Amino acid sequence: MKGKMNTILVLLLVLSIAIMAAACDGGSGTTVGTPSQTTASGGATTSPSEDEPPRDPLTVKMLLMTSGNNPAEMAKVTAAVNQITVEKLNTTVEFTEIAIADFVQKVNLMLSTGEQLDLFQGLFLYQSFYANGYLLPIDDFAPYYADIADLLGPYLDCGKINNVQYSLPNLKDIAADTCIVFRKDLIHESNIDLKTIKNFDQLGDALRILKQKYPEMTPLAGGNQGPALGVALVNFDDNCFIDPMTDDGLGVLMNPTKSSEVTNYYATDSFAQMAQFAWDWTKEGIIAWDQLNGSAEQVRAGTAISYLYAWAPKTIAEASANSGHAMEAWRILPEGNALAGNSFFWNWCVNSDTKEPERVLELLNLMFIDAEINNLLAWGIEGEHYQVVDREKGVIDFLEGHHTGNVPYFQWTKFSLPNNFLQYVLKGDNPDVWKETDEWNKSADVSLAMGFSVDQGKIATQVAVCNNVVEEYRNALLGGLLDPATEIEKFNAALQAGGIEEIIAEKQSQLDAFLAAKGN
Amino acid sequence: MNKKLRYFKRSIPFYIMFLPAFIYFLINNYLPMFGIIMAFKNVSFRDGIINSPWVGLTNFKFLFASADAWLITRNTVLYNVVFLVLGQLLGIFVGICLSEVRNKKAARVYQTLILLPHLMSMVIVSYLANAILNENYGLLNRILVVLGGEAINWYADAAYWPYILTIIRIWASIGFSSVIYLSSIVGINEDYYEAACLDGANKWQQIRHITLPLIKPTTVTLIILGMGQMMRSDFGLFYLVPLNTGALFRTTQTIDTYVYRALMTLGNTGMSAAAGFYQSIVGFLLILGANWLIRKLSRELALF
Repeated sequence: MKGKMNTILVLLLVLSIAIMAAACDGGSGTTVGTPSQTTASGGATTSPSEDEPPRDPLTVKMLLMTSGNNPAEMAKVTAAVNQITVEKLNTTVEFTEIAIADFVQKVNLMLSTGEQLDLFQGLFLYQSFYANGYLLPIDDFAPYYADIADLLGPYLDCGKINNVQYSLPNLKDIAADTCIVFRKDLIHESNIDLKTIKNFDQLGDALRILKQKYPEMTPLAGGNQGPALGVALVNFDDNCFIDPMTDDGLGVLMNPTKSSEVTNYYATDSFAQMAQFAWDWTKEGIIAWDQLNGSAEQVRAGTAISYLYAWAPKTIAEASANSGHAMEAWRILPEGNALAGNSFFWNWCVNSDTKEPERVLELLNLMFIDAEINNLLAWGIEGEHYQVVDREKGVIDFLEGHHTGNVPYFQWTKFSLPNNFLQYVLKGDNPDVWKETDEWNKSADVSLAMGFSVDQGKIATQVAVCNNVVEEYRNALLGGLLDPATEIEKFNAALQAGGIEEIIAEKQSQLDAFLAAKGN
Repeated sequence: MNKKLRYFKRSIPFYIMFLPAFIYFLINNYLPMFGIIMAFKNVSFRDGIINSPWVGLTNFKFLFASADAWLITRNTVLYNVVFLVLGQLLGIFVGICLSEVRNKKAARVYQTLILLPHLMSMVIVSYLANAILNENYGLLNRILVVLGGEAINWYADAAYWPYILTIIRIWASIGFSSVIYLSSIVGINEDYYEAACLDGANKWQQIRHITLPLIKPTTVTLIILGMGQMMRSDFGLFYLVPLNTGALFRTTQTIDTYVYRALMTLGNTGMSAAAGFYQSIVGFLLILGANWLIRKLSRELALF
């Protein structure tokens, strides 16, 4: 009897596992359609110009990144947005508010479980989303986002993966450039003119002056995001920025407008020079790396004077707000140009599960051209959350008694909204900032690898191993913790052992194929 | 037959009591084992786990392809051995000390204080550690300088970290293990001690001949269970407390941090499943091995 009981228990166990497995399988079959199916059903409809008056109402779920403090009157603003979208497209938008800090877990989960999320941004998971098939190829629906394509111009290619359009970059500062922001008051007190600094040697001199004058402060600080010189991807020989192509930086384009040769950055003279600066300057005490505090917070607290920051026309206003002091910027390549490479962080993607991609893209298109929607999302409702100071110039101010901390609708993440250029500017900031940004975007050098994305499938093992080597040495070298004289060699030996040559060869062959296809 | 039926009937309440635990383990520990197959597949969630293509042992390669494969395994195992041995010894010591505190209120205060670090998140611990170890304003360096020594950059030299991590780990875990020992010491019949007292045994003799032998089963159980964790490491301790500093990898890199760093940007589910599977299998074998060994030595002490 007891034996029989055991058998029954085992059988029950097996049965429940089988049921569970079947449920999983069934679940993925019904809720998660393959991209090809959705495109096939969607492709049947006709172009947007053909007007069919009675449109079915549609609800689109759209990701809205927040800083974690969700605005109190979000519902009010959503209703106002919907008034516009329903009238124009009979489409209702529901915003899924996600804090940037939760992005990885929440959005990953929503997409993998097939929860409805029609429009989203990929951030650092963009390539992983692509590899998992969450991104809908939208080339077939080009007429529905024609306005966006017009606005983006050459930057439309940022949303391409191997010549197929998968996403649409939001209109903001898309080119890449790097600067160091300094506390304005202190460099003036020290009689430093940033315009006269032409290279890193002269930068060192300036930092030395600051060190002498303010011995208690760090002249150039690194923070919890990385060491002081951590994000400066500079080719010193050709005076240009490097295109890292993917975040790992394993195999880069050293001179991205001229040569498509994939190179190991960590074996170049430019990296050695940067590490040498980090090593020497750390010993001198003119740079330091506080791994627990943000660099902007250090400036705010009065323990640091400057830090590295992405350069764009809006930088000074943004950095000043972040660090609580008026800042001034020095572009780290005073004579080099900004680089337009693959920028996909804030690209808008359409879910491959979406039932009606045409109407989703139509909605996105409206959001790129409708100033009212953009300002509702960026600033809230006029008269309630802000007041217009100068309508022509698009300058606004908070109502009396309100500031960023207490206004019932405030969105820190304005940059993530579809079209930044339509947003009002807060009084006191440069009212021409968006015009300047547009011009600056257009003036940037375009990398040969724009629109190229690496398929890491074949080299996943090597990338995994090399990632660890990079984690071990890169920041330690750029943070001045390791002596470049001996450690760079060890670094590269470890990369070799990890298979960086295979990674570079694979990337090179993929890039060559991409360029050949693009040329035709 | 009849006897067996009666036996079963009598046991029904026990089966019912066992049911919640059974369901819990079924749902949380057994059903997810289905996921093991992900370790052998190139997982794409859109295709579903079942339909993803099989790739054999490819996912396991990255664990052994690195020149540091030996280093990370050594670090993981050695740290665990040290934590296990020191943790038990000090746990027993603190447990006995706590049991000797006669004032009930004082005993409770001590227990709470010792247990507190166990409840703390490693993020907070990493800040506390930094307050002590920071090169410029850390407590330790301030003391060193005042005493005429030279400030040390603790975050730049890997040699210090085996000690630092061990101290932190023991500090954080001692409360919990001492409470387990305390509970088994409290369960020892007072009569033994009274009899020993009458025979003139001093405190040390009482501990040696009564307490220690009677808490041996607890110790053995904790050690066997600890063997199962031999290939795992406290991620927070090894990743957050050294502030993810590359220069310290020689002594702070363990399997878990290695896997995290390798797959953070890749987002490859199959490879992370492979790492978890590898850790579990080795842990399982170690538990079987340890139990087998103890069975050889003393049948009663073995878990199964």
